[in-house]
Amino acid sequence: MSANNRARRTAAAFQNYAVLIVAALLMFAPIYYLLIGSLKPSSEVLNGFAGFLPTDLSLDNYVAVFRALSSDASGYFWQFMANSLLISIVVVVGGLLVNSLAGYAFSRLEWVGRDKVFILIILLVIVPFESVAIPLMALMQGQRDTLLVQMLPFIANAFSVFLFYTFFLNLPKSVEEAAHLDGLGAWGTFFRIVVPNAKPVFATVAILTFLSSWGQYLWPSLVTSDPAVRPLPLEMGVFSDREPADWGQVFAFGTLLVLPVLVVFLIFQRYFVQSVAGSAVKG
Amino acid sequence: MTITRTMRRGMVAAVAFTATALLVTGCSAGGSGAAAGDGAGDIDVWALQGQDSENAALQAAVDGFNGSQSDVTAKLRLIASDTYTTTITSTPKDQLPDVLQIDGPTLASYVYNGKLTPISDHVSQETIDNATAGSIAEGTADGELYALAQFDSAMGLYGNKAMLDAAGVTYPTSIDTAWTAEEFETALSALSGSSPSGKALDLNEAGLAGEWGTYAFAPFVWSAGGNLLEDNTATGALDSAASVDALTQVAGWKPFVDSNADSKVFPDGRVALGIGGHWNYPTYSEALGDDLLVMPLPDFGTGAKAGAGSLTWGIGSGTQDGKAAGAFMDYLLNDESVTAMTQANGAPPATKSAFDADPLYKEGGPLALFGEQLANACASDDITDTCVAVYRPITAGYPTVTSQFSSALSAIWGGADPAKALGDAATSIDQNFADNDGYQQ
Repeated sequence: MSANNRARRTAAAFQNYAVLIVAALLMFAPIYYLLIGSLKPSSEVLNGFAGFLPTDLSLDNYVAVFRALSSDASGYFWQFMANSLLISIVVVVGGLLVNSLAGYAFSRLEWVGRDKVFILIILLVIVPFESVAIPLMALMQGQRDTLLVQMLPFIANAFSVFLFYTFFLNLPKSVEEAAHLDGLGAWGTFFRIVVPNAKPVFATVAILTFLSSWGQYLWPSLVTSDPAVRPLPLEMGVFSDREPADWGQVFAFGTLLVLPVLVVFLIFQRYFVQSVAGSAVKG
Repeated sequence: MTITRTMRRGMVAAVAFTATALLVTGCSAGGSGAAAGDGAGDIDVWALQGQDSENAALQAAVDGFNGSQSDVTAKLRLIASDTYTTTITSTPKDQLPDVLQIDGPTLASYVYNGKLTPISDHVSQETIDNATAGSIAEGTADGELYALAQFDSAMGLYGNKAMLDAAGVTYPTSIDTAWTAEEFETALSALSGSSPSGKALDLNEAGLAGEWGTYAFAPFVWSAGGNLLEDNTATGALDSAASVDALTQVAGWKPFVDSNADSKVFPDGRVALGIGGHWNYPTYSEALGDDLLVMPLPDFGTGAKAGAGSLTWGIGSGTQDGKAAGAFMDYLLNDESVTAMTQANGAPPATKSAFDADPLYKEGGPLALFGEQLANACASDDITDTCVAVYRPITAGYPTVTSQFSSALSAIWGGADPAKALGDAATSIDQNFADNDGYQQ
């Protein structure tokens, strides 16, 4: 390789890294800003680029957040957090079970009307939740102010079914056929052969479902009023709707709201990346 | 400049969405399920979760009530303010609390949907007699009293005396000497010329498309002789020549306005004038001290007008103990509770006795001009030249009115033709009213 070629390759690599570093900084900046802002006095948060500087750091904003949500009247921070976690975990676990079975049934099993039913389910992807929120609310009036009403409508999910369906289509059938020959039934094949080979799509669906469930806002605001069952995102308004707005507390609450999402993503990110790079998401 | 919970933002928009829910869950006019009860037992109280000091004042009132007698126990539930209206509108009548806080402009909507019961039979006459005219106006729908407020809101024009003097601009010292629209624009021009930023005014530009737009800019329409509705109709009022001229004039201020991205433009002395409310006073007075001026909004022809109205208290139509609910409201509206709350949030009291004693708003107080505005209050369907503080329209269709008005205002501010924007808004409002049979009971 000539010196010129090496120089060109080095320059190209340098350019690539420069672009990637800038992109990474742009992605990381809001999270860093959120974290730093949560540790600074409110007056120093929205302060241009100085807002990024780690000055006057303390945990005062976090203390204020916990204090604001610490009575029977307002509810308790940890109670809201526990509600959100419980709701999200049930929706994720339930969703993985229900939607993967549906996706498997559509991709592998032969039954009358399968394709027509599949098209109907896929059509549901384009229906925005806001358009069905009101009839759904009327349907579930008897369950107001319960955790169940915040879980049930979100377990079955058309997009998750679609993700599982496309992933299962690309799994080699021969493995399942071998399992059948070895005496495994449909259930055994699914749980002992298919599921272990479908970790990426399970991780993807888990992350996407957790994200949407954790961030639920409209639905719980329609069906809950009791702090004992309300999820955490509804309490953001306690801090953001104040006058004057205390941005340090808003950022502290935002940080506490984002942390569980980051943890879940870090746990599943290896599979998630595999899934995005593989066939599931791009179909 | 930002907006306070006492003016409320986003709540009316929430009603617009969740009111649809009532069509599904069943709506009926006027609350008829309330029972007088025996004045004993537990009652539920719902309120917005506000500042810590407000929450503490409210909790103290609840504790004080519970300690003052042994028959009734009030249980307070605080709900985050941005989901409060959605929560109320989506909760069935029989599951609403006995006593609840209500955003003034949404009252008629709740009455229309049967969520509230008239309070005259439950609250003492002494309490009703002690309510300010504004509190009564804001709490009355279809001729019945449904709510009474602990506090009101007030707004106007703040000025930086040092900057005005430096620019050689003289300023109004009373409501009667309010700037005319032309004088105001001349002042803006002079102030922007002498300002380092080249700007002269903060009007909370970011809030124009929300409730702030209606609260703070409908007064210019009223002052010009226009209105949002007349006889339940927007066409002929909102798109009248007076209304169009008013918002054309407002749009002309744009070159002088700082967008106030950091919410500090007025207290930091980067502009000399700011349109704001009583909630800005603590921050502004701390920043400017004796240089802070409190002035009326400019007079667009029929006298200066200002926005008013805030949170109020009503009784849920599903209460089984109206007597106990009324007793709690009597306690909530006594001098001790009202004063504790207004000291916590700086709002003008909505009871006569507390208002007269409030050092901020009485004659000689730093916000006396705001107090004078509220002392000359009226409803938007009964505006006179002498009335200053005007309450937003009391109609179940208010969510549509404010949504259309603020959208039109935002569009005009962005360069749209005022006549067309207001004409389209009026048409949309009238269509909505027609679709709902005029929101008649």
